[in-house]
Amino acid sequence: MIIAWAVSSFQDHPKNENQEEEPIDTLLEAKFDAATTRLPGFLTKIDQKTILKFYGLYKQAVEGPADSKKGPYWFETVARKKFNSWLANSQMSRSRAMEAYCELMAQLDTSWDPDAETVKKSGLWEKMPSTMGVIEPEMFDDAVVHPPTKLETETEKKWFAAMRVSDIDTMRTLLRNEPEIIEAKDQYLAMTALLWATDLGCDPVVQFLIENNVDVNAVDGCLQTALHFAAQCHRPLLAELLLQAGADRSALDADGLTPSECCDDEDLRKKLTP
Amino acid sequence: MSHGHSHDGAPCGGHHGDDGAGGSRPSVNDVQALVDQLRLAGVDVSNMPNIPTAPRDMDEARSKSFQFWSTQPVPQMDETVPADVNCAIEENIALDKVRAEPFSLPAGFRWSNVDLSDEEQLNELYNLLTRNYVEDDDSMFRFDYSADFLKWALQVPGFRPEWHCGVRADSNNRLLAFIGAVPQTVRVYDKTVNMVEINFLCVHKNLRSRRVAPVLIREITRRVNVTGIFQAAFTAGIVIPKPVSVCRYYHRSLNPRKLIDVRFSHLSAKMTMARTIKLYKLPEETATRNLREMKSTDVPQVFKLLTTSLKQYSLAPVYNSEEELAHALVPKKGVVYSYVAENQNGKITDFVSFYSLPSTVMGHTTHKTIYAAYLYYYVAGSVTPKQLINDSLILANREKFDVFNALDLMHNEKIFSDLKFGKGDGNLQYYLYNWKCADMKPSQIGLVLQ
Ligand SMILES: CC(C)(COP(=O)(O)OP(=O)(O)OC[C@H]1O[C@@H](n2cnc3c(N)ncnc32)[C@H](O)[C@@H]1OP(=O)(O)O)[C@@H](O)C(=O)NCCC(=O)NCCS
Repeated sequence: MIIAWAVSSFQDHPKNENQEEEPIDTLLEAKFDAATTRLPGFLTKIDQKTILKFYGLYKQAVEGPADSKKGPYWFETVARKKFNSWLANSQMSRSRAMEAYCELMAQLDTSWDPDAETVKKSGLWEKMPSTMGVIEPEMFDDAVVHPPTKLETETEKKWFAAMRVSDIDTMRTLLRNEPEIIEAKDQYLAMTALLWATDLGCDPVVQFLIENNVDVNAVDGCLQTALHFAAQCHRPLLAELLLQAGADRSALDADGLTPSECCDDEDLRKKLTP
Repeated sequence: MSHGHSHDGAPCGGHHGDDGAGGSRPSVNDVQALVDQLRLAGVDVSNMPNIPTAPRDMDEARSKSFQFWSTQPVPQMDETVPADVNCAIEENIALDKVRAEPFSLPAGFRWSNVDLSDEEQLNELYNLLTRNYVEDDDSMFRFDYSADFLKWALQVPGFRPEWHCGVRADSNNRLLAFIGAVPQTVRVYDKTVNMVEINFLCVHKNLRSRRVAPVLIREITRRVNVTGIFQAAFTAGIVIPKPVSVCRYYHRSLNPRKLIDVRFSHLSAKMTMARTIKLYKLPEETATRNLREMKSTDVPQVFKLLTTSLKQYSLAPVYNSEEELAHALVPKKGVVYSYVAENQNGKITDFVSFYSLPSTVMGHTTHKTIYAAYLYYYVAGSVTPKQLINDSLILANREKFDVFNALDLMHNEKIFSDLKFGKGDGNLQYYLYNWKCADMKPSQIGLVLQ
């Protein structure tokens, strides 16, 4: 293993005193390796200048900076040209030279996808925090999940999906074709897009719906208004928007509570008090 | 146990200089020469860094070959160890037979102990462990061990400086790899064994996939062997030969809005945020009225309480002194939180603790960190485990944690659904090095590693 470790990036190249020697990224190296194997196929098709560029980058990438004192004599024209091309890159880090080499190759060979070499990600052994997944109503014993009374139409499905990702363009198109969709209710909880967008915090959607004259006092099955949702989810900005659009501070939900009575955030509560 | 392979089949990819540094000689046909040079140098695809895949479950692991772990004293992946076997795999080596010299590192690198009492070195280790992740990976969270956490986990009573084992580059002295070991007595079924816990294995991202991890593991093994210890316990998210138990993380939201915002969890189409917030809301006060923060003076009672309680598990730590227990459990803000219930007679009847291990949120504009509490040790004496753990949710919430995590070990699994824990997407495997024993169910595990 020691051999491999050493050979792969550290061996046989002169130390550069000025630069921090960073180990080379494994994936970049893989990319660079792949690029070098492609060059021979192109040599007859490219001009001398480009070849020299490749040469200079290659040497810099593999060996690091050239030693200006050790170059060939000026009369050794070809060798000198190659050497100068190498010398020209001496300020580059080895990683940078590899990247530049890959970029040059990618320009030359448009069929080559450098990122294909990086499909195998490193960091595979990494210890990663576990995450939680989807919160379903079934996770709680007091869940009341009613089977849908009315299934969503295809357009309604698209409408709610676009709402969830704040895709205003799609919503605008759907609304143009079917103006009544603005008050459509979803199949699980009978909530309009405005109620959902307030609940989930899709601010641009709320803005868009208000601009299109949505009913800001529409309610869900428990008589909750958008303002009730803004109150419970602590969304002061949306509460402000809704109030400006004429939302009712004294609307009562099925439990007889106003939005402010559903709110446990001091400041927002004050703002919502009728 | 020092299986001294000098080469464990590492990929030998690499560039060999074309004609030596600086020594270009004139050539007749430039283009042809270049072609030859590049052919010589051009690395064959089969020699490219061969990045192996890390198995994340038992099935994947069964079909994989383990270049390194197959050379180590661990049970085979498909081995079923009978219930009456509970012993070392390799006999202890006489101390004068243990390899005395460190495993060699390539030229340009050296072993270097990391002294965590030195602010600068502590910070270097912190950066290596937390700032050194592979970019453009699609995972969104990373552990963010704090400096205080590292000191707590690594500088336990009786720690040895040479077990905080680092690798540095000679050229710029940078810390490029680390592995840590701490002494811990562990009982496995009916045998009590002096072990170490191995943790914080880490290799600089640019040195990954070059078989550096195996060198670190061999070297720490050697350094532990020379002190006469031949067993170790550790945990990992990956599957290698062979887990003694496979545990699962569960998560209890304390701050659901934030967890959903950062996509730590998601809402189903049937669930509103408003309802989620309501369902996860916790009372302000604990149900166990006399629960209070643990103090140093509680150590002797907690020691007795916990020592007795741990006897019910098949894999559990053994605290050899009150000092060891005090280090693990006396509260340290931002690191470990412990609470006890004391009755009118001054007797401690219950005890619960959790530790703090935040995660960094990658690329989020408003939230940088998730504050996570992890359930640690507990003893429910006068109340049910369910009430005690629910109280610890309340206490963690008071301390502004966003989520409370627990493994399905000890009695935890029975209370998860009542306390609204959701199943996580990550397993945690428990391993013993150089030990062979029957597999354990998570509920048999009483050992919690950070
Ligand atoms: C874990 C880490 C050190 C592995 O380094 P790497 O360069 O990818 O791995 P290497 O190529 O050097 O070695 C791979 C070998 O080490 C073993 N290995 C890797 N991670 C391991 C772990 N956490 N525990 C035990 N063995 C491990 C592999 O099984 C493999 O051996 P195999 O061929 O027998 O399967 C590296 O990914 C890292 O630093 N990650 C970030 C920190 C981290 O997540 N650490 C986890 C433990 S806290």
